[in-house]
Amino acid sequence: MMKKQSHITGFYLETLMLIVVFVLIILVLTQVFGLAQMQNTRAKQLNGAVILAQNAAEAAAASETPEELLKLLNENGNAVPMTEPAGVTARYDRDLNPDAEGNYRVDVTWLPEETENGILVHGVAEVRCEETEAPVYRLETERFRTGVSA
Amino acid sequence: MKQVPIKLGPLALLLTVISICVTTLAILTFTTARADLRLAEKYAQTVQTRYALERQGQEFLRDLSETDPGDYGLMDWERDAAGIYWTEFEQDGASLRIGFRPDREAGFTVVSWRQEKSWVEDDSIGDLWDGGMMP
Repeated sequence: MMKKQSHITGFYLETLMLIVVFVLIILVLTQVFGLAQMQNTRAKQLNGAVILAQNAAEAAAASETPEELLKLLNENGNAVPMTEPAGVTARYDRDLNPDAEGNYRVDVTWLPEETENGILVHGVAEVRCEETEAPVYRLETERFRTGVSA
Repeated sequence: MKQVPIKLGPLALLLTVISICVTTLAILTFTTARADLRLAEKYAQTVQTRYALERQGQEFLRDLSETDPGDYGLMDWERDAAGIYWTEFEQDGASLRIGFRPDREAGFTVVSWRQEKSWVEDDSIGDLWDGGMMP
């Protein structure tokens, strides 16, 4: 009788140990999966931000006025003008489609510098995601136009 | 009454196999995600370099517009047989080569604007047999 009792207690102890070790392993692996998910999200955000910043920088370089920049970026009412400094704020959804309520915010500034024979336009595109304080990506561009004044 | 012994072996084996499989999956997921992030960061850096070179080029054009075409020969720009002047900017292994020629009306005309990244093929195969005769 005593032997049987000890056998059952041993079984329960072993099962308990097994479950505790298994739960610990699962906990550690959950952390690893969580970390991987975080890195994946960051990579996706950065890729999206780079594409949006390039589009915005090219639009800024191609525009002769801030109004033209607004026309180029505005689709379905996703862009609004900025006053100080001159530029445009545009929004895009997760799939980078224009969306006034989208979670990507692109601030593009358009600053002309008059020179002797034309203007040098400085464009800065800053992309933020989920209203973060620091931009996910920042891109600066410049375009010189001869025979044009600001 | 015959007593059936309770064995923990099969359960332990099953949990071990599950743990090994999930651990392998976790490692693969993590390394893939890290590689994706590194690739994204590299791409972001490449775009930064490209735009930095573009800025240098545009600033060069601004300075060029303020230079008298008669003074082009005084600058340290290359000049080819066709009378085209060449200048080059480099950053992080990438370069921007601009070709331009003096123009009476506009001051200058850009005839070439090319960004390149130097790349050297890695043709070393370590200690692998290269197909030659064995000594």
